[in-house]
Amino acid sequence: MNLPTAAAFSVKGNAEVSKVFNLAVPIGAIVASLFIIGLVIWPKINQILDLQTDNKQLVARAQNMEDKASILASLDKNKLEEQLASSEQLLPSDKNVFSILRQVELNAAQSGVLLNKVEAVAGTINEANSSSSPIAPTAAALPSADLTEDLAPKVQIKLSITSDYLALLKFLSSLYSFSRVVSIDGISLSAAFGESLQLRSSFTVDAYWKGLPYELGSIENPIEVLTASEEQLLQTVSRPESIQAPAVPAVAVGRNDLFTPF
Amino acid sequence: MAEINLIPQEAKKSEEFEKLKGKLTVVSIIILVLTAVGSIVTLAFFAYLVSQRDSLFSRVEEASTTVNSYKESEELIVVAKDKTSIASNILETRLDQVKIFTTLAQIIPKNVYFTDIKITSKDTQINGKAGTSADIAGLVSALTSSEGSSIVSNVSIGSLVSDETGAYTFALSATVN
Repeated sequence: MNLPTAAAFSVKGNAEVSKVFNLAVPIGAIVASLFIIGLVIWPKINQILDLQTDNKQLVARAQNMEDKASILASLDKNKLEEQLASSEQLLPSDKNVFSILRQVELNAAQSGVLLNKVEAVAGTINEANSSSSPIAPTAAALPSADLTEDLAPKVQIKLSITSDYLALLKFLSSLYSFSRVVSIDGISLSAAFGESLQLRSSFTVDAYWKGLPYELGSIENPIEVLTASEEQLLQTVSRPESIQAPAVPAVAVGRNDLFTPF
Repeated sequence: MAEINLIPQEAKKSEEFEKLKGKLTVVSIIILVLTAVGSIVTLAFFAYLVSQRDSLFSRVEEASTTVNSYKESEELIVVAKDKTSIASNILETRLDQVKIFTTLAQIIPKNVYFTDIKITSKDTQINGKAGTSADIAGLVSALTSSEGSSIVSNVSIGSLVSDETGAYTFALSATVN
């Protein structure tokens, strides 16, 4: 039994190569699968997760816009115009200094109050509108009393008056009956004892205004409709007992001399 | 003789190798099938999400067009709401001096009168005269009663001086509610 060793080695080597080739196919398939998982499936899963987040946001956006469209579709345009006119009475879009001065003068005369001094802190008359930025829906939700000044710009009218007590109360009540939103601040009363009791009072009337916005803001901003109390407030303004802002009467014009007293 | 025993060992090794190869082939087929199924499912789901995104984009665009068609109404409601809510806030927070005076007139004793009053949005200072010390006590009691508490709180007497007639001049301050 003297077998040739070279042939035996050759057979053995071929068998080893055949073994390696036999194993290479399944191993290659596994490696290819891992490549596909790593290079195709895994990145796609990440993209799917991103897409799901995007789609959720898109669903919310679409829902908000559809809700907004349905709210807007349900609004009555004529009623809105009336409400806008009433809200303009509450907070005019410009200062209307002379209208409020006229209103104060007329009410003082009707209440029997003597206006000793009227000092208007008007500032720039033709000031640009106050709202240069889009309306933020949160502006309506500020609840604190200290924020009143920040809510809207105001014209201040400082009054010094003399009257009896009842006339003063009548005058203050009439100020609060203005269709325009006003507040009274820093009221100071002192009694002047003479033939009849007279009160000397001084206080500041803050008359608020709010310019129209230049732009509406993002189309996706949610729409806020008027609450029941706000609708009631607008109805109150349009009632006849509410004192509307008077028109400032026209005056004669033209002089020969600029410095002759009238 | 040793070579004679080599044949069964080779056969045994070959058999083990075939088993290993078979197992490996089965595992690789399973992995391949799973990978193929996973790829198809992943790609199909990805395609579904992409188409869903496209339809959502068109839904948003459609809603946007609808909202734009109501732009005039939106302008009206936005301005009216803005002005009304601000006005409402101011009206809710403004101080009602008429109510303060009316309430004071109802609750203060008859032998008390005021010489001057100053009311700001935060506090009030009241100077006046009272017939007797009992009237002062009545005034303080009135201001701290439930009715008085509706208009002022933290009532404090700054000065209390009587004259030869027994009348008291007082100065008091309080926080406006």
